[in-house]
Amino acid sequence: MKPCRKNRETIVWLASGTLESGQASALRDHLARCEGCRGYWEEITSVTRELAAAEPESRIQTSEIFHRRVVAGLRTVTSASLLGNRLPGLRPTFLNWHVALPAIAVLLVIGVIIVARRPEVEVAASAPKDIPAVSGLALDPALAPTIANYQRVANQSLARLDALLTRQGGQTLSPLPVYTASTRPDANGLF
Amino acid sequence: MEIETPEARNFLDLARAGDTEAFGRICRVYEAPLLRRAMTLCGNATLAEDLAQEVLVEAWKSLHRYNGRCRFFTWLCAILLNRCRISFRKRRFRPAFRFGARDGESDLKSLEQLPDQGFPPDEAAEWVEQKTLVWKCIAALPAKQRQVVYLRFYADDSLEGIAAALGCPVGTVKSRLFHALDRLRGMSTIHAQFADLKKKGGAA
Repeated sequence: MKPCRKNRETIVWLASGTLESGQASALRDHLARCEGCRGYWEEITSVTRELAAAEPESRIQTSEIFHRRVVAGLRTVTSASLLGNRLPGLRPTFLNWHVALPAIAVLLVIGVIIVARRPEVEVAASAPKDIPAVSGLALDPALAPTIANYQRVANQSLARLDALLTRQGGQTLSPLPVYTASTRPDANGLF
Repeated sequence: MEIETPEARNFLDLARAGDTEAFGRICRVYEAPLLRRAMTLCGNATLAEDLAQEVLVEAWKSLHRYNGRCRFFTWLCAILLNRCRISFRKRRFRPAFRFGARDGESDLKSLEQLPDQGFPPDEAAEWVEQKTLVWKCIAALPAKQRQVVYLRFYADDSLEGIAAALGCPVGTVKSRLFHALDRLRGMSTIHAQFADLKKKGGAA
């Protein structure tokens, strides 16, 4: 016989010990009268009995080593979380894209500036070091404007060459003597 | 020490305040029962130890989420079931019991290794077989129904406690319990008929 449809759920709860006492007594009265419900209750009770009997093995015990490993695990987690708590305000700040995007842009600009200045630095760094220091010579505005002098200064540093050329460019050069047949110093000796 | 006693509550409060030692003392109480349940679920002593340790560490990390509406052990068991499900998904281990596994093919060595000393050998073997069958049936249930059965019968909590541990209404727990036990009844009937057939076949 099949159990009454409306009682199936309450029978299961009765068998699993989760039905309220008022409902339970009413259902027991019904079970005494209804064969179908009684049969269903017996089957469910058998299942719950078997479930209870299959309880995990009670003789399994933990060792002291197990406990130590658990405590070590707890300490590791605690120390990790303490480290994480050092910067509690910064983590959400950097996760906010309103802050993160401008920060990334600033970093990019700084990076571009550094890269743009780099070749000059490299040229300065690659200048041969065995050339004697002629700082006075390089900055001497009276240095003769010859290719040899410019090469020596350029070998020291392009910045110095630039400074020298700027200074020399600002100066009004003294007019070079114009040699003619009459003004030539040794003209008298020759002619 | 039960977590519901005032002394245990004090330890729990200390642990919530960050006292590792207090939580260590709580762990001492629950380690063994938790290991037993882990052993039943995964059927391997080494994996069970790892699983139980992971559960306790996880409980320590999320202790602020324990609201005291269920027994502490029920809460631990809920974490255990969750970890077990995740581990199974990652294929770290196979479930201890697989419904439909061949006779004699059981991954759960613990039961076979630990026969009850009080029983004669044939009764002990029958007891192991019966227990294995029950766990195979539980393993065959849908995950949510399995959780409820597990917490009801092996964490031994009220429906309200189970609902709090699983974060669902009591009505849902009751419904899952009904469907789970009804399903188990069907499996049990099939297995009883199969056992009868085997016996008859053996006698003939």
